[in-house]
Amino acid sequence: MNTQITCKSASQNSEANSTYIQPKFTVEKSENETRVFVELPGVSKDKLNLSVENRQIFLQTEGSAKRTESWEVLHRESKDQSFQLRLNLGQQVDQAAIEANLQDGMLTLTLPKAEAAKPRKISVE
Amino acid sequence: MKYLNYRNPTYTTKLWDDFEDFFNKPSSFLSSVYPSLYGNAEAQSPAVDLYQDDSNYFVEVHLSGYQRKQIQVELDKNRLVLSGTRGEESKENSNVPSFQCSVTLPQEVKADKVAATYENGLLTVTVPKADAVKPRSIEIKG
Repeated sequence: MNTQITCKSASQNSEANSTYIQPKFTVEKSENETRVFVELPGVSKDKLNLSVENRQIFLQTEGSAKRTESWEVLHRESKDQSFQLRLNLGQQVDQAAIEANLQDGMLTLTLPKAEAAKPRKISVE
Repeated sequence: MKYLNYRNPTYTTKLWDDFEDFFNKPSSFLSSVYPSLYGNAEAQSPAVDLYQDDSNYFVEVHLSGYQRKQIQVELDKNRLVLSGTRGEESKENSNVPSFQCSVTLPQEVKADKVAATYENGLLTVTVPKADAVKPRSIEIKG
């Protein structure tokens, strides 16, 4: 079976630098679609850039969640870095029908299976 | 000073395994108990930040996929307990587990003035500091 999604680490790309980290994501497959859940805590819709080109989804966030300068840090686990992720799509995905929904810091990408990837009958003339 | 007290309560249920792990492979034991310190944080351990300014403490929890109603914030004296539970309705996200963590604030606070906001998965709890941390007499027991 063809793998529909392969992930390219951000560090392998030419434009990558240390200010980007790869978000955590999970993939769920069903008969007609593949869904990708990307964890983007603190990212609002206007800070998220999402594009599809050459059978590749490119995700990038601008800046991190706002933090007030006057706050003194007592304990810190979060990072200031922005997120970057590339997902390569297999031929089975209908690129034009991809849907994205960002809610509560979780991006859900719905990748429908292309009609061409589904079995069909061929009529003989 | 250590502000973050504990994370997932489920950890105690496998205490004996951890006890054995501690002697067999201490580094992996430590990374499971203190994932953030060992750079191996799992999804169920969201990043927690603690900040302060002159009059407030700010606790920020970086969450992903939790709805507002699935998050609980409790304050017990100066100990803040933050937790999230997932309902059955969000089955598509069932791979993301619940979380719980506790933050001890360094000084006394105004417990009745706690405010919390939740936006884009970022939970921010604002706890005003007490007007003055007054000296107290300490009872001697026994």
